[in-house]
Amino acid sequence: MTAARPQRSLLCPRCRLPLPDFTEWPPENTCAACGTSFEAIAFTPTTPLVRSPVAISHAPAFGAEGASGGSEEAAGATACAQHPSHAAVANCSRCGVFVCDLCRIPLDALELCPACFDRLSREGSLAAVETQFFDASGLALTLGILGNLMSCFGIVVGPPVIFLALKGLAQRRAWREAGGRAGPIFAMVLGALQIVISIGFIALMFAGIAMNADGKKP
Amino acid sequence: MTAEPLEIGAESVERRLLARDSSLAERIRVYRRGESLEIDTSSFYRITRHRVLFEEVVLATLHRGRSWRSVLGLALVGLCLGSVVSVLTESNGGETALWIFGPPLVFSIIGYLIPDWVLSVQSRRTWTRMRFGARRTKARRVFDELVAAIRETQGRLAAERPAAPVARSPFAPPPAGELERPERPFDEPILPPPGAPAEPVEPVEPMV
Repeated sequence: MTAARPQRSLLCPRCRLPLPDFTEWPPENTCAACGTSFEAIAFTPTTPLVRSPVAISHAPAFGAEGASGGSEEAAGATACAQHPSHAAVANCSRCGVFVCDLCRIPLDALELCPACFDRLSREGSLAAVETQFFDASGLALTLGILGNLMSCFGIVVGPPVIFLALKGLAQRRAWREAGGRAGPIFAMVLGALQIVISIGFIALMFAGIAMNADGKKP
Repeated sequence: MTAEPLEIGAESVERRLLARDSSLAERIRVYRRGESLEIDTSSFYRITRHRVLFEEVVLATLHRGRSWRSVLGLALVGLCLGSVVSVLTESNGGETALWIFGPPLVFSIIGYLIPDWVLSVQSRRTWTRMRFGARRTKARRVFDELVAAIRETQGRLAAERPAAPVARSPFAPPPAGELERPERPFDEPILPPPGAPAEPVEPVEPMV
C-alpha cells in the first residue's frame, strides 16, 4: 500500500513500474508494461526536500537582534548553534537554541532543534511523529465476535472487550477522527451481550444444580 | 522562549476517513487530515501510520481496475473442493462437484465484472492507493477534492516561498550596471602614443 523509500520516477498505479517522463500529461494515459489506462494529473511541487540555509561570513555574539525573525539578510545575523557559518532563522521552542534552516524542525506549531526533537521523540511526547499504535478497537471487535461464538466464556472475555472498546474510542478521540465510532460501539454491545448470555448460562446451570439437589427434574 | 507551557504534538486538525481496503494480512484506512493523507495499516492489531503530504505530491491517478486474483483464488478453491468431493462420493459425484464448484466460480465472475475504482496519490517520498469498489461517484468526488486541495496547497506554498538567490557562473558576463567601464571614444588609439618611453624589457637567459 505504501512505500517509504525515496521515489525518483513516476510509477504506474497498478504495476508500479516507472512511467515515461511526460512533459505534458494527457488526461488519459496507458502504461506500456501492463496496459492499464488511467487518468492522471501531474503536479510540480516547489518545496525543496532539503532546505538550503543562508550562509554568513561572521557571527556576532548570541542574543543579537534579528536572529529569530527569519531575516533574509545574512550580514549581522546570529549563527546557528550547530553550524557557525549558517544564519539562524529561529529559536528552538523547547531549549531556545538558535537554529538555521537546515536544523529547524517545524512540527505542528513548534520549531525544534534536532537534539530536542530526538529527545522528545524518544520520550514519546511528540504525537505527530509516532507511527506505531495498538489497534484496540480491532482487537475488541475480534474478541467480541469470538466471545459470542463461545458465550460460556463471556463473563471472562466480555469485560476486556468493553475495556478495549473504550480504549479504542479514546484513541479515536485523541486522533481527532470524525466518525469511526461504529466499530468500538459495536464491540461494546457484543461484549455486553456475551456477559449477559454467560450470566444466563451460569444462572441456568445453578438452577439445574438446585433442582437436581431437590430431586426434581429440571 | 515562551513563558506558557507548550502543547507538544497537538494535532489540531480533524481527520476524515476517505477509503478503506483490506487484504489477507492487513487492513488499510486512508484519512485526510488538513494538507496531508494519513494511511493507517493495521496488521496483527498493530497500526502503522504513514503520511503523504500534499506539498510533495507529484502525481494523482484514477483508474478502473479488475482483479484476476480473486477470480483465480475462488476458482481454485472451488476446483479443489469439487475434485475432492467428486473423488470421495461415488454416486452423483459430478452433480455434487458442480454444486460446490459452481457458486464460487459464479461469485468470482460477478466480482470480476464489477469494476474496482482505484485512486493513487504519489509523492516524492511515499505513495498511497485507495480502492472504492463499484462506487465510481465517490471515487471521482474524492479524486477531484484531492486534486483541488493539492493544487491549492502547492500554489500557496509557491506564492509564499521567497525567490531563490540566482547562482552566477564565474565565466558569465557581469550584469549590466554592476561593472563601470570608462567611456572611450572609438578614435582613441589603444597603442601608446609615439614618442612615449618604452617599457624596459628584461633580457631572457638562454636555456642550457
